[in-house]
Amino acid sequence: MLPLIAAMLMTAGIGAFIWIRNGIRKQYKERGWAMFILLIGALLIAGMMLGLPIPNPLDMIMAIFKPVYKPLIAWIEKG
Amino acid sequence: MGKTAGLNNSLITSGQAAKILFMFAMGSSTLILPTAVAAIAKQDSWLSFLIAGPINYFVLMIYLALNDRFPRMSFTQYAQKLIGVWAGKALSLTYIFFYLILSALVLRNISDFLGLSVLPQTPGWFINSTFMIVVGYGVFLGIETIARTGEILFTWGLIIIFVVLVLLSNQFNFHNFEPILYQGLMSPIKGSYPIIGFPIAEFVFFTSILPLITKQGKPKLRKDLKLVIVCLTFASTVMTVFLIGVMGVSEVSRSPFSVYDMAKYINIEEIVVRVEILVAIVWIGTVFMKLVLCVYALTVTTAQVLGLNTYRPLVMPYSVIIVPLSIFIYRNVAHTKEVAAGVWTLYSSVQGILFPLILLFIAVLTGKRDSEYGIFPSPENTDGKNAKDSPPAEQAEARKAESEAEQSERTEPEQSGEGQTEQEQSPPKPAGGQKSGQQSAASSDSQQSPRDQSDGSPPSDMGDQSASQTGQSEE
Repeated sequence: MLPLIAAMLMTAGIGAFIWIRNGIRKQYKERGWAMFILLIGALLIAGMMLGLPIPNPLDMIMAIFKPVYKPLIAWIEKG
Repeated sequence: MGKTAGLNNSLITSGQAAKILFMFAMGSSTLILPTAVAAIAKQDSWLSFLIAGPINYFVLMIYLALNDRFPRMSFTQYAQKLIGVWAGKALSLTYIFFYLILSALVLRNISDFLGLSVLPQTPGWFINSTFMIVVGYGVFLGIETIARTGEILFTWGLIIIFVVLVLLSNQFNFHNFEPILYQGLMSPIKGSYPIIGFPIAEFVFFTSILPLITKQGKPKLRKDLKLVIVCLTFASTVMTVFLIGVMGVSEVSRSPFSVYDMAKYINIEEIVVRVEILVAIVWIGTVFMKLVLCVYALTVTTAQVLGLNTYRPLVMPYSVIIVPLSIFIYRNVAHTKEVAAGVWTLYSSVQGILFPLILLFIAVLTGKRDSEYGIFPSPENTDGKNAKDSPPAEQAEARKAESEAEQSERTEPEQSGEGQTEQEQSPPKPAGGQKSGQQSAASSDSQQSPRDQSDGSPPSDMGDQSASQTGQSEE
């Protein structure tokens, strides 16, 4: 549980930094998107720490290209 | 940091661009790639790298042809011009995903390498996090800093690789190459399949860098890139020749980090031994460059898709995503092999070759060209106050030319003393400031400022300052 708390504290710190720094520059749009991306990162960390089943993006790529790359690899490995 | 936080439009020379491209390629091909190629082409795998050279040239020519038509735009921006705003943004989203996955894979490679060879007791997440902090800071500082770092690492990398290869020459065994072309020419052709995937198709990141090359550097760019392709092909081929000559095919195809393992063979009379850490240093440098460029392309593409004025606020949030992604992206060794030697080449070829080729065909068929400035809008231009002003890149080049002319006038009479090199990089200063000790104290700022002034930053910097003032007054 300690790494989870540490990771969440770190992301909260980064979030606060972005919030304050960009607030000074009036970059409201940038700040909003940065916080959104940071939220995804925080959720990812939390999901990993809690052992939730997070889908692997490479599996998605492999599923899309499976009809093409399987025969291709078989042909290449045939020698 | 605060002073430069909105600056995006730094410019680099064609030589710097060529060097970072070389470093990017070496990040993959030096340590991991020979294993995948040797597994397919066996003792003829050095021929696969020679075959990949022309493919490399062809891919870079696609990017250059697109850049000739849209010299001041990145891929995201001319995609929107060519296939429409929404289709262009949808296409760019696939690139964001691609760069994100690529960054996670590269970070995983470095943590695997360090975990297996140098820091076996250190947990992977710690290596990833600390490495990512440095990478994030490099991206935050901008392309000019990245390019300068690349120049330093390029020289040291080449020297160390040369020294390592010279020291290995006494271990070389020509019998390891026999029989040559036993399975015909088809075997090395098949062996070039993983090379197309990484690094050749991954060069698509270069489309984010091309609009940032100075106008003076554009005519030399084609020549520099040709030179880089020749150097890259030569370096990869020589490296593979040494790998097979020293270690033999079976060991190369088994070793996860073959070049590092090859350096362990160095033994000059029991005096010069254990120099493999030099290879580790070079590889960490090249992978650092590769990761920095991937994250830079990722954040810039995202910022351009979302229409932001700067990419910088996105650097840290993306770093927070990349670190956990790199930890769970590979499940095990079999999964790694299936991805690296199988699907990745196909996926990166679609992103790095097919899509740019389609865009080039559309550009040729429709005859579209656009020299409009489109890297990032400066805050002033977005406000519409100085819309008639020349774009920041042109201002940058004009200021650069002015400062160079002034410097050349100054340097002739003042060519005594070691401080001259710093003087050349800094803008004309007031006479009083040159001799005082304040100069050294403020050297970091003064080195930052001339580039800021010369890269089109003043408008955005001023815009930032005015924005901050108004923001503070509003608060």
